[in-house]
Amino acid sequence: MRPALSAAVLALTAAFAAAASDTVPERPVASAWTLSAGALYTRDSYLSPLPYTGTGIELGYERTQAMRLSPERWLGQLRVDVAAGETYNAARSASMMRLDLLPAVAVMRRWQVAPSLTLAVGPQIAADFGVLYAMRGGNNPVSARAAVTLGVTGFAARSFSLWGVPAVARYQPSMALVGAFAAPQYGQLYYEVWLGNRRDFFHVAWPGSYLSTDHLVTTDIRLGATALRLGYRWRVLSQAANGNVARTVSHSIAVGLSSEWLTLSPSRRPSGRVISSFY
Amino acid sequence: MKRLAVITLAAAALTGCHSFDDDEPGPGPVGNFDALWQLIDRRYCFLREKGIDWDSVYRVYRPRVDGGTSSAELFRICSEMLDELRDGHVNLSGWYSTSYYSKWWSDYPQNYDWRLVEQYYLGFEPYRRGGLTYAMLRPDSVGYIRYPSFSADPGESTLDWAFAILADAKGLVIDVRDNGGGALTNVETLVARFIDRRILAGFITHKTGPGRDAFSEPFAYYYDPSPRRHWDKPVAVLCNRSTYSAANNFVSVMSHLPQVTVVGDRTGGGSGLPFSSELPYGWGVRFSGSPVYDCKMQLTEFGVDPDIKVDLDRLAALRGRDTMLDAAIRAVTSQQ
Repeated sequence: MRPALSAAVLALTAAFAAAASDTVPERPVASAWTLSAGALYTRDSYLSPLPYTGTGIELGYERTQAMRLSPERWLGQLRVDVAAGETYNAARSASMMRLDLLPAVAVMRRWQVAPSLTLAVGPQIAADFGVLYAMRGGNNPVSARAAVTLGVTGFAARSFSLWGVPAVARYQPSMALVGAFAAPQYGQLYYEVWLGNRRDFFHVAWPGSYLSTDHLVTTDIRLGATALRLGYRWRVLSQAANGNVARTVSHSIAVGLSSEWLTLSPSRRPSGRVISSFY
Repeated sequence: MKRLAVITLAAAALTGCHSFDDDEPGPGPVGNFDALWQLIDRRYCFLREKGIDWDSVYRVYRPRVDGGTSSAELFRICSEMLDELRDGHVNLSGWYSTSYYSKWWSDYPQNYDWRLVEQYYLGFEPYRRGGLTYAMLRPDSVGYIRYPSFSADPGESTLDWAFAILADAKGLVIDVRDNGGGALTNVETLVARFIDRRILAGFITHKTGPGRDAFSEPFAYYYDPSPRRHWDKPVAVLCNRSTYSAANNFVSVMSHLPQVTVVGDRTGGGSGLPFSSELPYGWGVRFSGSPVYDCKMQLTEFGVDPDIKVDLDRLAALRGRDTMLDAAIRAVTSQQ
């Protein structure tokens, strides 16, 4: 059994290697840095029964590349966002600070449904680590965010010409489906959690208990080797556990720079075939 | 793509599961009053222990509020309603004042005069470092440590120095009179110097939902001995009615150690860990949200009784004697 399995693996590897060496395409990395700013809404019944509104900013990095194994069909994507903001109650007598780190890794199957239109969809692993901090202080000033989820993402990208300048418009929604997140009990202080009582502290995440959706619309307008990215982002993070509900909603306008770059190996001649991520 | 659309729509429908259990509190005097009453109803932790009928409290105070009630009037009515909780951890912080229930100490003698101690026992020349004031009391050769607030970290190195300087003392008096509390982590820092093995410090519970009887199972928490310098000689903990909150917890934990004698007046209590929230007017509310019990699962919200009950004799004080401190010194020296 074992020799047969080894032979099969060897044959498969050799086949992939031969195919790869014949037609190894160049796979440029599409990367972008964006800075977003806009309206922020926070409400967390653990901290206060009142909704808070204010402004938030996000610094985002995105990296997308056709995957080595099947570059025409599959894409890999990494997104990391750092979100911060400050919100106030209606009386403006108290404020909350929000800080979140939101990394996500996705693999997407794509289809070139028309010469200028690409559709893609696939699974993603995402996380949210952060805090909502009530500036009033006290024994319960913090509501922590800690979640790891498996979800789905996808995009529709269309290349077009904007006053003669090449551009790519993209809409990419993402949503968490299953995973785990942390939340204290209804009236439990983090001091008690720190003492060691983590009973019912971790919860199964599904859209009924943990909803994380992100809608990103961008347009990359090519300016020479770099592109100006303009976009809009609507992000909803909502969790319900132990009688407490926490929700953060942001609407923001994004501005950034995107580019595609290649890493060439001196030991290998460029094939001349280029497979971009979005077009 | 169809599947993705279906999943997205289904998830959007599920956001209904994330509804806040109470609608956003209404505006105006009535909305604010109702928000306060409901907040206490759902999250305050001692309604049952104190035998408070919170529904009848509503019936008494709610008729006093209507749409024309001024904010000053509302603040007064709400403060009076909160006084029904008889809890020093309860405050309403309005635009211009903070309500405060004081009867847990103001109905009793103060039993403390720092000037008396400083002048006649310390000669105005104690050691002062970090949150501690300490000295050797002569001629009894008893160490004295004054710790006025658990909000101040006593400091590990300060404790090392204090214990080193007082190493020849027959015993130690820890004076936590008028100590209104602070951080429980500082209680652990201090207690850890007086134990040589892990001890059960107490139990803590919390509300698991808005129901008045919705509490978690008590969670036992422990203190471990400090790896630094210890004190293993007799100890007297000196307290009064203004020994409150974290200081009350300190007395509670220390009272179960074999070498410790609690001297003075009953402590003020305050064994509920405070929780904070707010009203639509932006007024802050603080209240007891998480009860802490001692190692025998006894509630110390109403205070800890001393082993030796003694008050400050005002006539003796005029002669430069602190009768409570004298009793603490005797308690320490009598264990020799």
